[in-house]
Amino acid sequence: MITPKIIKREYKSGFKAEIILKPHFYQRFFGIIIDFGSSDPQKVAGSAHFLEHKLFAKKDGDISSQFEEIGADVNAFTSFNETMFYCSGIEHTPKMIDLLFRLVGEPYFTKQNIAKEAPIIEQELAMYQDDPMWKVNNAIMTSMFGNSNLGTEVVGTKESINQVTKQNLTKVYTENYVPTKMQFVACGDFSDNQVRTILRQVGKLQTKYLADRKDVSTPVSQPVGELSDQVLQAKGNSKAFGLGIRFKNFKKVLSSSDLTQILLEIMLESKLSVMSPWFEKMRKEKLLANPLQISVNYTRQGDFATIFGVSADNQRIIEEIKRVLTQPIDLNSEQYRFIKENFVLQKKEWLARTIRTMNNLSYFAIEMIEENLDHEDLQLNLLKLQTMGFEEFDQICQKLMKDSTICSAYLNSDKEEQ
Amino acid sequence: MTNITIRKNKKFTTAALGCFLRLPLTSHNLAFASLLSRLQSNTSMLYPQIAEQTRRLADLYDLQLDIMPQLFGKEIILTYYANFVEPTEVLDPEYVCQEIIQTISEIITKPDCTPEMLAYAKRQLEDDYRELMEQPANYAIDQFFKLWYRDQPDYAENFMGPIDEIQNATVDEVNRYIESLRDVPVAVIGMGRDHQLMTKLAKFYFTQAGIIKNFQTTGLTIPANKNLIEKVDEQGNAQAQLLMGFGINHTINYQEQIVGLLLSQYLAGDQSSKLFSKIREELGAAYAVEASCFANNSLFLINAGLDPDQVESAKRVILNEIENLAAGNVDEELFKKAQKALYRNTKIGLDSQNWQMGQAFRGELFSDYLDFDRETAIKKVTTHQLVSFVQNLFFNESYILK
Repeated sequence: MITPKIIKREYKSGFKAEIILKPHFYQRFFGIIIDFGSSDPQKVAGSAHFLEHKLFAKKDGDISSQFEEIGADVNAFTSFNETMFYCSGIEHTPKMIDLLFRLVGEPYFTKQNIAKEAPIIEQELAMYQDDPMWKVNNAIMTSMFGNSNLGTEVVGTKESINQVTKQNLTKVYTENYVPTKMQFVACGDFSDNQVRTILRQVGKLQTKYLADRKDVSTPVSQPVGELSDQVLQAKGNSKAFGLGIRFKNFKKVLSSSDLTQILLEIMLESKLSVMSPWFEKMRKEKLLANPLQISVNYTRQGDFATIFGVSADNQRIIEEIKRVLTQPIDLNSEQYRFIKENFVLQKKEWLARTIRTMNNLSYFAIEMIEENLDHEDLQLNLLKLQTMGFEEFDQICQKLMKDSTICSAYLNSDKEEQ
Repeated sequence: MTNITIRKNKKFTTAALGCFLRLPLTSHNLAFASLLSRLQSNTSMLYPQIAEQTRRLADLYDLQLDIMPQLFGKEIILTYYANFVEPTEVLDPEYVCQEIIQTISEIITKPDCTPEMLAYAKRQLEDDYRELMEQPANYAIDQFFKLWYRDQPDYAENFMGPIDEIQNATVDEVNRYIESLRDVPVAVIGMGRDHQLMTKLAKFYFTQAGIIKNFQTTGLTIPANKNLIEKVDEQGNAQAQLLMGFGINHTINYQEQIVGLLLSQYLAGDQSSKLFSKIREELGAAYAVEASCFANNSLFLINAGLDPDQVESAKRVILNEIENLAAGNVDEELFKKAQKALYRNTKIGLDSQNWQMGQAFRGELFSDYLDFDRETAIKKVTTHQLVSFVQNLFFNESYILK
């Protein structure tokens, strides 16, 4: 696997930049990531996301329009611990970088423009709320993390969206949009000269917009919810269910949280994937037809996994999943043999996944800057995984899973009750 | 002469191989194509257990094989699309092109329909269909097309064909369907670093009768019948779905398709696009608005998820804007932005293997498609052409799901 060339720079302010070279690609991608997201401390839930929307407003109108004038595309997203603004185009590199820094560095909040944004974000929330799987996910997150910011939808609630004011947006902005918590990424086919020019320009712009800002450290809490099993009344026919696993012992493996995440995903896949003896049994008993959606996440506020699926008998499948995840595995069992064999396949899969990532320039750039923000190294983690033996993997996973708590939720259709 | 074309891969870390079968769109063909796709995604004669086939693909560095029917106007394209890591990326002596292409061809050309696996595929599709329809956006699009093609039921299914036909299919019927596919036109398209070797292997493994049949077709566009219908359904959702369909009054050529794409961009492509700014920014009624040109269906579709109290206002905005454009009132600045965005998307599309494969496929299906210079065409579009395109639209359907 040939890894792309990366040039990194750290400025005096603590602001960091990295340029990833992707020869032969037309797209030029630029982004600024902020180490602050929806589950981080903020008085009103959803403020980080509201801020992401509202930074597009400038005194001279929506800044998107200026990106569009030069043929560039601009967007942003908010996740649990990050907010990212990014743009891409095929030309006008200096102008795109100028605009990106202005987007992130020059807030313009007014009572009017905040009031105007609230109904738009309410519609974003409504769009999610109509999805049955969202209801299950929301119930599980609240069950794991209570009504904390992590337990609440990234965009906030209908009530919190309307509680956002100029004052609290300004507060979260000044406390979090500081050079030590921000990084720049560029990805594309740049010459050596262009790399130097970009790094010089970024240096000037971070000084212009960010240099005087200082990091305000805020205590991080680890909220815990009731971790219950819930039955959700629903108006439709959906048979969606989900489980949440709240890890108590999520620790870095070989100095990497990412590697911990990967190992846990491999472990869960090994027990629950369509190839597993367990799935075959569930399939034959008509409890499952389609694969489960499994994901492991780590955040400053708590570490967890979610498992989603649909089943004709939600109550039973939840019990079966809990059983297969918690019961000890007999070393002479078919399941143990499968997990051992599957570990080899999973190593191949992760290698392939990394190789594939490189083809999608935007995705790759976002992945790389997120890794950088978390002090992780994608390639090194892949190497650590490839050299890990099964026994080591098995022991690590047992420790990571120890004392974890499982909660669940499923939809109960009112039509079925009738 | 066979319909096999493998191009040189110059910049991607993965290779791609697509096998496409062309057959007429009927609701029966679509239902059975969906069923067969699911069957083949699970097992095949050489890999009769789900775990076996999945393991085989995982062992080939997680070879991704997507099997699904795609609709192109009056035709179904039964699509087998494989994406795999280029062997030179991993340098594993057992991971070679011959093994990869042989496996792909075995799964594609040797389907296996047993009563147990048929029942399982049905359950999978039933689950998928039920969960898809529980999402208001999907339900609304399904209903929209059922109304749009209310007089042509063979074209009315948008997701997987009639679910009752899927539920009632027998093993014999599926096997007859598989047999009938042995004769339909087939094209194999690919992209790899060693494209010459891939070509030789594809010629060796894909030898069905259809590979020498004419894959290209004309007349697949479904004309739009002028017959306005407006319908509102109530589900009590948090957000209302509004879908407005405009018929295109003739079969549009490649240049007009570019104009259609430009109109989509002008109306709903970016933040400052016309409907985005009017419905989202001015009314505060939506988070997103979309506009799409379905050239093969003679349909220009505008849709949005909206505050239920603002649906009528949004509908008026859309109708006014279309009327406005038809009267020749084009926002020149916005037109230029849309043109630049479309050009950018086309250029950046070349950075995507899937996009390049999609273009190559259209080159096989449509006559002279690859000779058409899209980039130049985008640059040459005029406001006059945009107005003329809109003048050829007629409002034909409004579907609202609340």
